[in-house]
Amino acid sequence: MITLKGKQIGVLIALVLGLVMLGLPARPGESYRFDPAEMGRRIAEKGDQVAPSDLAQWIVEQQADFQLVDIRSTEEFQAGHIPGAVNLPLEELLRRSSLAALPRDRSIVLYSNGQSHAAQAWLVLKAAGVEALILEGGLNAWSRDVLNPQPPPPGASDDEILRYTQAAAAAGYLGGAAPATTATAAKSSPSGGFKPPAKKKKMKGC
Amino acid sequence: MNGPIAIVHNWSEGLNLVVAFLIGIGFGFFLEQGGFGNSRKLALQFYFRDMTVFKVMFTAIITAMAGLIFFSAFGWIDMELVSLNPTYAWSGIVGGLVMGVGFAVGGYCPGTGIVGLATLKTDALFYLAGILGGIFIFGEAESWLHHFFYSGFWGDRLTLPQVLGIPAGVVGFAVIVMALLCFWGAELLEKKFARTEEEQ
Repeated sequence: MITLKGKQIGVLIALVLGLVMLGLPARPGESYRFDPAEMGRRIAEKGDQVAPSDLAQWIVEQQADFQLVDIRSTEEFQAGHIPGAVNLPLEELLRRSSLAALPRDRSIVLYSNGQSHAAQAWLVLKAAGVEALILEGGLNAWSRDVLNPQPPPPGASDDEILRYTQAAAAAGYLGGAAPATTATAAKSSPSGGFKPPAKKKKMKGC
Repeated sequence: MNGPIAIVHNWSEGLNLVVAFLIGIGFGFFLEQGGFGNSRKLALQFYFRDMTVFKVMFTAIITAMAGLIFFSAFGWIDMELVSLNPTYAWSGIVGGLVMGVGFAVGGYCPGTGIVGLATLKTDALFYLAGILGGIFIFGEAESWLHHFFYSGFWGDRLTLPQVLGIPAGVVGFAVIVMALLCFWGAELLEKKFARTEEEQ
């Protein structure tokens, strides 16, 4: 029978605790959180959305501080998408591994056909600490406002005519004058390479 | 998540201060009981003759660390809500040196200086006057030091598991093993330097 003295007991306890620690899950839970009041304010101020015309301008100006993410299915994406977008179908986007791999140095601009799926995903992204925006009105609005701008009525002001000319030019650049779903799938990615993560093994623990 | 209690339960500033006061009294009481109010005892560690301070401090560190790691793993505490100072590498290194030299010369660190004053030690009074003088000078010279002070920025919430890219539990285990080895080494040093004293 081994009798342990004070110091030995201390060392033993420390070692046992240390060994248990070794087996703990790496990042317990990857907890998601958000401040409800702040989210409420953002939503109320429409600070969660970007208008199609603004997004078109960002793309034309080749701004690099955002990443467009198309959350529709792969088939829909292949049939046509906004230039520079990467495809991360909703279910894939909302995996823990995908959320963890999203870039933190720029905003993620989400879009789907309408706006509800993007808005739902936006909440999750915000909780995961990702800066995100949704395309106001989704691809439907994009197609209506950006790709097929309506010519101003006769007798319109110079401003309106100028705005239309610019919109038409942008539409040409963005493969417009045709519905979004049949737009040629441009491959350019002005905001740099971001790849959805390869499927990882199931996360340990949690 | 149940903690940090003050944040999760949205304590008022007043209640927070009262609890901080009580914890501070407890901390100071046990420091004093450990002999940390005596600058001679504290300074002896720099001669490797009495490593109590080192052992007590390191034990406190690994105890708190183990608590936080386990509580976090059990979901009892949300580490994201635990306050962490941002890391400025260069000012951190220089500040550590200033603190260490001050500790060796003055025989106190700021906390133990206050513990020393609680038992009305004269040297603690001068030590604290020195600290306040230093704070004043720093405050006045801030515009000169500003650039240096904020140099070497490394991150707002930098932790070892992040930097090393390994789980917190593995870091915890390594720190515990390191602490045990250090305690063992500290006792060897104590024996070695106690003997030379007898020979003198």
